[in-house]
Amino acid sequence: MPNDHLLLEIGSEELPPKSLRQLMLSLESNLSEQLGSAGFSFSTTRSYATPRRLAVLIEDLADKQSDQQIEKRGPAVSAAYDDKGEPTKALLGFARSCGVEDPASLERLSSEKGEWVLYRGVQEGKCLQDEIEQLVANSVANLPIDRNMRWGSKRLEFARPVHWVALIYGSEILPANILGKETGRASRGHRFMSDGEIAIQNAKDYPATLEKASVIVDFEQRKQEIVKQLEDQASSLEANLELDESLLDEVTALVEFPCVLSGSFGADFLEIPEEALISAMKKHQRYFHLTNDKDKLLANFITVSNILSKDSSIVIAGNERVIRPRLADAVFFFRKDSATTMVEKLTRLQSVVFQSELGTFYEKAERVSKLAGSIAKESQIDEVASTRAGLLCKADLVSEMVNEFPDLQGTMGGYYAANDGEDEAVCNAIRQHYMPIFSGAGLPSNPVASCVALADKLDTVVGLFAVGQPPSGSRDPFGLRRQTLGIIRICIENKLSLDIQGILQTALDLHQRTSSPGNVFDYILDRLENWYGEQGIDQDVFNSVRYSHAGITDLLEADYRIHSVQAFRQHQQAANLIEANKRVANILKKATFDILESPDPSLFKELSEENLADHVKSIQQKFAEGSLNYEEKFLQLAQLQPHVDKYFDDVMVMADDRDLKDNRLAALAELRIIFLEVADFSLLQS
Amino acid sequence: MAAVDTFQDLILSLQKYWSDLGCVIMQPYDMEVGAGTFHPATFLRAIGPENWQASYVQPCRRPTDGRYGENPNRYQYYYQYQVVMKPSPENFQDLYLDSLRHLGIDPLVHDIRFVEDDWESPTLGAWGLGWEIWMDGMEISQFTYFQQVGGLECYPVMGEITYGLERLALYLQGVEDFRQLVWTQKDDQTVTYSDVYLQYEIEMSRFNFDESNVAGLFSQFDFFESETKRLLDTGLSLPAYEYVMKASHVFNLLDARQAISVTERQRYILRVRTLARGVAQTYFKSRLDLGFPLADAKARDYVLQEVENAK
Repeated sequence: MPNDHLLLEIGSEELPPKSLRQLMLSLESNLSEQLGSAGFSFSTTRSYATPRRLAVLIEDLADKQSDQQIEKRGPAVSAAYDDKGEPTKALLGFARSCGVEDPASLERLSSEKGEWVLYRGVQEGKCLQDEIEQLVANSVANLPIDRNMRWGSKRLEFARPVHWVALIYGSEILPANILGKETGRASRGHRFMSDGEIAIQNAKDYPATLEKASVIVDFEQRKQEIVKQLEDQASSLEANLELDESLLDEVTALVEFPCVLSGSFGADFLEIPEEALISAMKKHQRYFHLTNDKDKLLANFITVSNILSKDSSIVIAGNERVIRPRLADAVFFFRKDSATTMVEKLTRLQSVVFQSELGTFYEKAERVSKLAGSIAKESQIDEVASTRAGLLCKADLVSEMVNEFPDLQGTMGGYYAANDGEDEAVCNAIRQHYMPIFSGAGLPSNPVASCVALADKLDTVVGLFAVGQPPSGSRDPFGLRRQTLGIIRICIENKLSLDIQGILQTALDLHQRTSSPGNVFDYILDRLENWYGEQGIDQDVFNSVRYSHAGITDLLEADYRIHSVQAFRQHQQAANLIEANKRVANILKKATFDILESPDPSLFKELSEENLADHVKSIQQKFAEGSLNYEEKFLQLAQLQPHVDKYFDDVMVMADDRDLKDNRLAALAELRIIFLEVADFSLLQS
Repeated sequence: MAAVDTFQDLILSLQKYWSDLGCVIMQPYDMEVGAGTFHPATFLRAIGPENWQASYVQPCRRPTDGRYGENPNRYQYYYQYQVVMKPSPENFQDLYLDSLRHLGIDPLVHDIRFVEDDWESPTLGAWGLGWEIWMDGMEISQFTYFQQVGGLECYPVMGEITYGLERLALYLQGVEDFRQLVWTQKDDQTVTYSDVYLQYEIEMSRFNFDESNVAGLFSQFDFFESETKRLLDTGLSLPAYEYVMKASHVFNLLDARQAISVTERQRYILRVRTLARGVAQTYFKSRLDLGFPLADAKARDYVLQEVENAK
């Protein structure tokens, strides 16, 4: 069966850059899935995308489906022949439908339930050119397009108006009608640097043909080309390039032929906070910014244009003319915002709703302030600064700058607070209280900021659970998952030792809500389990601590135990400890008995009973002294194993004598309690 | 072609270009609007199946954009040049690019790009998909395929191009600041944009930010709202629409005074949108009663069928 490459290219008006890559990959996976499940074999697939096209290349695609073995079950044998053994109408009909002339030639299928007539045959594979239209249509229909549109007088929909569809198998056009267009071999090159239609002679020539027409059609290749040019520009300016990955993806999706240019602006703009300048450059202009070796912003920018201009100095001058008013606007906002204090801004939060059932941002700020204060108090952190920062941390939400650049929330508040003469710790905390802004992002770098960051997140999570809006499935509009992860990371990585359940109760009290904080706590523990999983901590290790006698009340303390258990389980003694614990746990699980405070030595019958009791007592004493770390405790416990084994060899725990039995169970229960103090080792897989 | 050296040459060139393509050359609407889209030649003509091609200059007022004439390219009063074509032609993008060439802009010199900018007007209950058009990084035009207007599906789709005239003129004249733009020039007599508008810009910025009568504006808003509703009850969609435009402008003035809290803001937008929807429906009905005289048969039949199905 001959194989050849298949090219599909959909040419359109400029596609949305932020979803371009996703659309490209989806078209590739949709088409390969369609072809695959239709039985057309191929080797590999590639995908391409520029602002004006999505394309997929399927390599070594068969021109026919493979033949398929088919089986069809016909009528039951009892219904297939009449009393005289003649074929019934049912059988004749079935045979006809299978294209079989002689019904007697049909096979039989028998099972416990009966016997049926069976047709076995081979269905010849269909040709690619007969099937391709439907397969492509299905692939296109299932693209994850955020918002479809219509154009002209057409009823059909796509991400943007479609202008051509190329569909070529080897060097042949596969005729079809896709998205209202008859397929052909015509494509278009660069909008300006190429003229009119270009013909793709062979599917395998696609990238090369487009390159001749000034289009780098491969997304990754184009991206690397941009990176190279960006680095060249930066090094010629002797500056550090700040390479923002999401911006890089976006500009890659905005050009077909990247030409990187740099320009500059007046150094006097550098007087206002550089974050504001960076946001203006990035959000409005998709510019990359540069820093010097002291990490200070330079008065230069780099832009990625889409043309090899006949006179690039004109393009640079144009861009310089644009950025000045943009930066002037940032200055305007900064001055206007600086004219009022953060305290004045705070009062305006009275009219900004945080969440309809949880009141305004003003009310949230009051709660966060109090909660940050009590966290600070418990952790011996500056309570006054934490309370103040909590109160002011949301005030910049009414500023012009944050209104224009929402991602500067917190950052601008920090500047405005400094402008008001607030304490440096307060300013820092305002600046950092949204951290970590995504999973894996940086954490607040000082204790006051940690308190406020924790308080803000706890208030949100507890509040939304209290009004019955926990995250469900993919719905998590307030980002509770991310915020909970933030709570975990701040407590553990920033080493805040807190009674987390107590803090949750305080947060709930501040909301003046009565529902139980327990479900929030369970949610936190579930996220915690997840978080440990990502760090390679075994799930049974986490569970052994979660369900230990001590349980988890303080995330930081639990973290020490979890890491100790994880480390200890690698130890050769671990298996002994786990085994001993399991034996004890199993027997206690099955027994029903009255718990005695501790075993009565006068009822010991065997030497191994006394022996075990002595060892348990000595461990209890060592633990009580409090000088052992967790791992040392585990080693002590592991040493009990031979005594436990001997005990079980010698002693019949479930004795007929009730007093004797209860006493023995009491001895084991006592042992179990010291095992459980740190972690439930019976939950570990040995 | 002749170089487009002055602000008024720019307007005349665009008028000529789009006139030659068959557009009805309209005049600016004689009321305060925030964008050329508010002009009935766009907003109302986007509704229903009837064909329409028009272009016009529209002065726009955006009170919050005032910078007392100090920002080089941000004014509270400025000019848009609006083109609408319905149904949107297959080569709409090319027609636009040719209009730039007609103005003497060479796309092989400048970096011209279509950058995604989906348009939504919360007050008009309208949205569309399209781009802002960048020339060397500056947004010089907006390009939109209307999908919905006044809450009604647009079919056929109206395509809209909005040129920012002052920004384009900056390029054509090679200057940095609106104030330096040459409005017209005859022999050694030059009239600049500053001569025509600077004092107005400064005084209006003060008016918008400091001097407008807030209490009076609130009561005006209520008046325009209740009148719109009353007029809609009489089936007069066009006078009702004029009061929607007035209500919308009053809202913008109140916004510039920060007289409307963030929460209230949403409610005011909703109030204007409700009026705009009412106008859209009433206008649609009035054209339906006339049998959509300007529509192609196919589009008309489709829409009539949709109306029938909705019953």
